[in-house]
Amino acid sequence: MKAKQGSLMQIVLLMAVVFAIAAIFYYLGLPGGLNVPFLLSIGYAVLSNYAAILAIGIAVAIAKENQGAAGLAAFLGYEVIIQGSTALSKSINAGDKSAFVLVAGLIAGVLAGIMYNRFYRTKLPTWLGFFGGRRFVPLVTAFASLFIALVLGHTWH
Amino acid sequence: MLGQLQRIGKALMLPIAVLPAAGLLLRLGQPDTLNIPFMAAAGNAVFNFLPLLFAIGIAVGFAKENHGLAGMAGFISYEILSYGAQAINSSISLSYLGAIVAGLLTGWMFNMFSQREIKWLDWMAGGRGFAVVVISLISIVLSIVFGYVWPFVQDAFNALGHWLGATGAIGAGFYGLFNRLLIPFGLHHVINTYIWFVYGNYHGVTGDLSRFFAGDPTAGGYMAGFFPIMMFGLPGAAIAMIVAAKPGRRKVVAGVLGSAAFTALVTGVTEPIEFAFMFLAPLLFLFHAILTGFSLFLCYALGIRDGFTFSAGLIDYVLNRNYATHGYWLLPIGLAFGIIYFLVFYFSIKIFNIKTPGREDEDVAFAGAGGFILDEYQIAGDEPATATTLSGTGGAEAETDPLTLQAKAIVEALGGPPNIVEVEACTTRLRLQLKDAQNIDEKKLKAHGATGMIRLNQQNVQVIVGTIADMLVDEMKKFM
Repeated sequence: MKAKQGSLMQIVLLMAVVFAIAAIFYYLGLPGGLNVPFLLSIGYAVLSNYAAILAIGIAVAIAKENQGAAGLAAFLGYEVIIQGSTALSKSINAGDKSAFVLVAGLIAGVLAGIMYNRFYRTKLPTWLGFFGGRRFVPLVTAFASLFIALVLGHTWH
Repeated sequence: MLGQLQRIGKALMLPIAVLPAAGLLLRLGQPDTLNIPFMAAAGNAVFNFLPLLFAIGIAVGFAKENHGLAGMAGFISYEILSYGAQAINSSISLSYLGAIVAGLLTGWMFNMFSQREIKWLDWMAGGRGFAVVVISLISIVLSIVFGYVWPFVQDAFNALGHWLGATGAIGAGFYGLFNRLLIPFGLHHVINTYIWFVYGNYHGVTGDLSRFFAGDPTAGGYMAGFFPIMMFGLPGAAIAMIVAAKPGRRKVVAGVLGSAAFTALVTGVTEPIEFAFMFLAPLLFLFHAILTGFSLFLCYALGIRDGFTFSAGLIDYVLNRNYATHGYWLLPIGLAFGIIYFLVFYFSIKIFNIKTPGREDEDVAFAGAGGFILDEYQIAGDEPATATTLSGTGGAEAETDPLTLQAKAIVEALGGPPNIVEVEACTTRLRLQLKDAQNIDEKKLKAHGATGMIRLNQQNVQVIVGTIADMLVDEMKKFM
């Protein structure tokens, strides 16, 4: 029996659990808690990357059979959007707590998921064959993310 | 052991696929070339986070069905390992080592739990979700281990860096050797940082690289020797691997290694080539490291001084030529190394029968997950690359569905679509009208679920497949 497709709800709830556990570590590590820098760092490792994790989760949920290539593409797209936008407009705040990273994560996740389903069967001519199939997905996602970065870089305040 | 390394190599193919494009974007976007910061930033996004991409790639590559949640776990694992270790000792930089540990840990644990039906955890993706959490927790423990142990290792290599700087040409030679050998361990950064940014002093500027660009005529001895390797040697190795590939695969291999070679020549970005064979053929990587060491030694001893801000590629070579001493000597030396690399790689591959890309065993290369040169979907079926609707509507079966594969195989066994005029299901049988019943591969039919076959005449045949006949015909029609 082949595996069931993980639904968006399942993956979102999973992420919620992960973030909750991370938050516990984080708060325990704070000076107001047990004041253990190590615990603080562990929690921070996950919490500061919540948008990237979100992107991966959304993409994986959308992608047919929850394929990993979509997750990789999502993270790549996320970083391209952030790096590209901030290069275009120095005034964009892309810190851990900014709205920008959340938007970037959501867009990257949805984009990568859709790109996966659209392009995972793309066949390239033989001499480019290595880059075909699922490997094409991160490439095309990064490319699309460039455009999104272009738009966001010029419009985001 | 070699098999495990090869699996890592295969899993890296997914993230490697973006590297040539990213390398070119990054280099060409730099201020000293086209100066398009936006483009450079995009390429930067890839290289800054390369260890993370590798962690995700390895995790996904090892996970059953390449499940995406393994990718998520790999990401989280790497971040926890990094932050955790750094919390204990801020000088730690795990880099590729962190990627490999995170990726392997994730792959292993994920497969342990992913197929388990943990009913009470179904709301968070069951066994797989549980695996993500477990992997995160284990990473916390591992990060503590790294935090306390790794600084000793890093300090040892920092000391090595000091020694290398103090011993002239020989030191340069060993520097080259270690610079390559330590890549999988992420320790090349430690020595590089010392050599390029700390060693030596020129009017207050420290580090071989910094001093080179500040005009120090003695600087550049620890960078010059990289040019022959990255511009000529590795491309030579790429050509050798292309030539050594089996004839039927050569075109594909030429595509990937050719683009990787071009990237290395122009930008000095060698990750695409190096990671392509580092794990598939560790012996060759050892030779590469030794030859790099030799080049560093030779160029230092000959008094050649050259450098790079980015990497030892053509663009840097041209841009920095006015800072260099005897820079033009690097070209004939480079050509010589190109030939040496070609010969060493080609004959090693042939003599030791090394399985570089394009030389995998027949059944492994293309048969789904076993092969590594091509993704399954690049070769699967005859379906055109048309769009599919968003999954979630519970619609089409995937090509990896057993029924689909069976249908495909049966269509082929019957002589392919051209030979099949009509097919319909009848309880437990396929009723077929064919152009020519002689073209049937009975063995293949039996291998794919047919329990019997009845030839009525030259055109009409019945194949007994059991009660799946109806569904099977639906699937078969997709291939016709």
